[in-house]
Amino acid sequence: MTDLPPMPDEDTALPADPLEAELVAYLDGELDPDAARRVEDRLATDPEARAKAASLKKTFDLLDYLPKPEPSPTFATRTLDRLPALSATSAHASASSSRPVLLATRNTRQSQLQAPPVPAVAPTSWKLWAAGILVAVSACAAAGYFASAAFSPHTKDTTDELMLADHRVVENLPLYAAADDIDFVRELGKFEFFGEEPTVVFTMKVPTVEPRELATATFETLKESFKAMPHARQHAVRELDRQLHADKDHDRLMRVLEVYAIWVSQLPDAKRKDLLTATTASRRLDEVRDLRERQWREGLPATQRAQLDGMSAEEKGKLIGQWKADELARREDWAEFRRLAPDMVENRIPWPFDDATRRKEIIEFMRVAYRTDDAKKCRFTQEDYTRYQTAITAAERANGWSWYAYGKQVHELSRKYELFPEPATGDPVTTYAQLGAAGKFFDKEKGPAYKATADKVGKWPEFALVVHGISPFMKGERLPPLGPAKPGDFKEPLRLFVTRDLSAKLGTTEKAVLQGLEGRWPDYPRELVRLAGQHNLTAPGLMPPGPPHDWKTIYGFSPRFPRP
Amino acid sequence: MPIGHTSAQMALRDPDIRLMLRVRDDDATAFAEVVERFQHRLVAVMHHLVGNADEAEDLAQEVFLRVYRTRKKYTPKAKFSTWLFTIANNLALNALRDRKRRPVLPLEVRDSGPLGPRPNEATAATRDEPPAHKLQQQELAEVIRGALDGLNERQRVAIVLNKFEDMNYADIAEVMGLTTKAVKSLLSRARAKLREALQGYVYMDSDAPVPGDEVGDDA
Repeated sequence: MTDLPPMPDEDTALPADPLEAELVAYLDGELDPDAARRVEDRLATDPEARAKAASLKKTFDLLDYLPKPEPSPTFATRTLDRLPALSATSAHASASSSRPVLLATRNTRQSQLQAPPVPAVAPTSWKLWAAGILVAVSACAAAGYFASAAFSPHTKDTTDELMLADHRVVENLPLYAAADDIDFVRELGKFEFFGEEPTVVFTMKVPTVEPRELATATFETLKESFKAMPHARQHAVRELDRQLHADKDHDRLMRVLEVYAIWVSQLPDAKRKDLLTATTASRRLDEVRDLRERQWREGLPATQRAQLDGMSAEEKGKLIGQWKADELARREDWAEFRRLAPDMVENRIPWPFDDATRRKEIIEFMRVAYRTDDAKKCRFTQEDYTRYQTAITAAERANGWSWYAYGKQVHELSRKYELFPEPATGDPVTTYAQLGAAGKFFDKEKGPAYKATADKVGKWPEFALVVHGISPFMKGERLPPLGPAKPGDFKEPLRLFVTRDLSAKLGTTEKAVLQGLEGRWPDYPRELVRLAGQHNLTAPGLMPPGPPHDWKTIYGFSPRFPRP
Repeated sequence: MPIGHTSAQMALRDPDIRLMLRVRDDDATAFAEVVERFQHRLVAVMHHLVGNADEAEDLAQEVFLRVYRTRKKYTPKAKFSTWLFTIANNLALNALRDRKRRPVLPLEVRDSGPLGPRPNEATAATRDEPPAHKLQQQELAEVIRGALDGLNERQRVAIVLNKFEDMNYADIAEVMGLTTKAVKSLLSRARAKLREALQGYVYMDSDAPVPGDEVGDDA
């Protein structure tokens, strides 16, 4: 931009017609709302201005009639040919070790592969082709992504030039050969398949191995394999290549494919054949699943395998189920942590505390529900109370990610200390006197009942809960309702919530069950809260403000490592 | 203000930047990918600017080669495409100035039509004659070509970027090294000139297909 002469004055001077400039900017959507409104007003009232705008637009649109030339088919190749010749050494010299190289891990893995023999006869069905290709590639142990050799004179001189787009398809053929389509790849990327493999998950940390160049011979082999594929299969592979490269998750999906391709190439021949000859993608996925399952079992530590030995089939099934569930839970935890880690690292304020109003609402909710402002009246144990206060103080002081610890407190405490609605009229049940005739059961002289409940006197809902717990043993004594257990007895925001908001979301059975519990305390309010959570609604006063699903997603797991 | 605007973050947002960073690190495959991704757009833009397929390809090729030659100095600052078209803009403007392929007929000269002398042109209607309603697409294309050639170099680049790359004024300003105000002024003059040149060829009674919608639709 330094060598260009200054703009002619006529271009920068005020346009001869300022209205014209405004109209053009308006048609281009470049005016701010006020200026746009002024133009619209003018257009509404001035037919000449309208005609001018129409004319400006239509003459501009005429430019669409200009021919739309495509680059000639050899444009790309000619361009690349003009690059200085890339030798293997010059290309690698500047590869920095900290750069995350796509598929660099492939090479560390490749070096561990055996070199199976290259099949002598070319199979005809594409699925067997895939097996042949993979075997051939792993035999050469050179499936690096770097492909300077692809632009060498040898390739250029072949009579059948591949289109440039096909270069990439051919280079990646070992990855695509055993895959059906993009949905298949996405399935493979889920954590039940290859999604949690270390090389798929960990990107930046893997040390870069200098990518080996794709030897001309290998590229030629792949190219021939590709050309020999049935057209339908070629098309499918091109489509997969295109969709993969258009996907925002492209890097990860390529790593998944790589891990999968290597896994396939390491299967025993018979198993691999079964896999590749499966007739549909979903059958192939089933095969993958079965094989992985078997491999997992065979991969268990000796002690665990020994445990299984002595067991009956049923017991084995149970134990394996347990182990798998544990492993799944660990993987889910880890996945959740990885999801939150970026926020943690950036010290972002986590939901829902990033909004000041919501933050206040939550703190207020805790205060009202649990009397967190008064150490003596607070429902929490001493320990829980201290922990809560520490969390909120730290969060308010440090801001940022420290709100996460507070959020955890809110979520866990609101589950540990169940909330029950207080009655709309009268006092909640917290004393023996309120138990009516049944109060005699708790007479000081009677002993155990008194002992079990004395320290809960005055506390709602602890007193009522402990009385309820004892009630099965109170033969013949009739307790009055220990707490409101139907909508009509609730205070206002809750009553409306139950009759309007919750009712609208419940299915017929759910409604019937809930109604059936009316009058039963604490069953009715418990079921009410449970249903609200399931339908992602917040029962006012009983649950922290904010969608329950979000609370669960963000605060519902326990990372098993120290937090910053 | 974003917390940090490192190359890594920009790369994460723009896949083309990621690609260019690989080119910077001498990844030839990545460069081939850049060529593949942008060849259509670049050749099209150059063609609209110079009106000639061969020259357009030559220019587009020069752009890619310059991208490759200056790859070590690349630092992601904005969208990759903006940077690419900045290079394209420089090369195009230089080419337009160097190659005096035809005298530029100012459209203010009213007695001639919007066409300049060109080798294979068909005689189409001039401004003063009523346009034939069944104008062949090719003739129309040549008329329009002429109208575009009637703009000065900067006007032409701005119009082409605005129309065919759908660039907003801010991006055009960045590519051309101007203020948005200057771009607005530039475009307004260019559009006014185009309007004068092509007014006669617009079918106001919507008899023939005119690409585009009603006034105000693209506002």
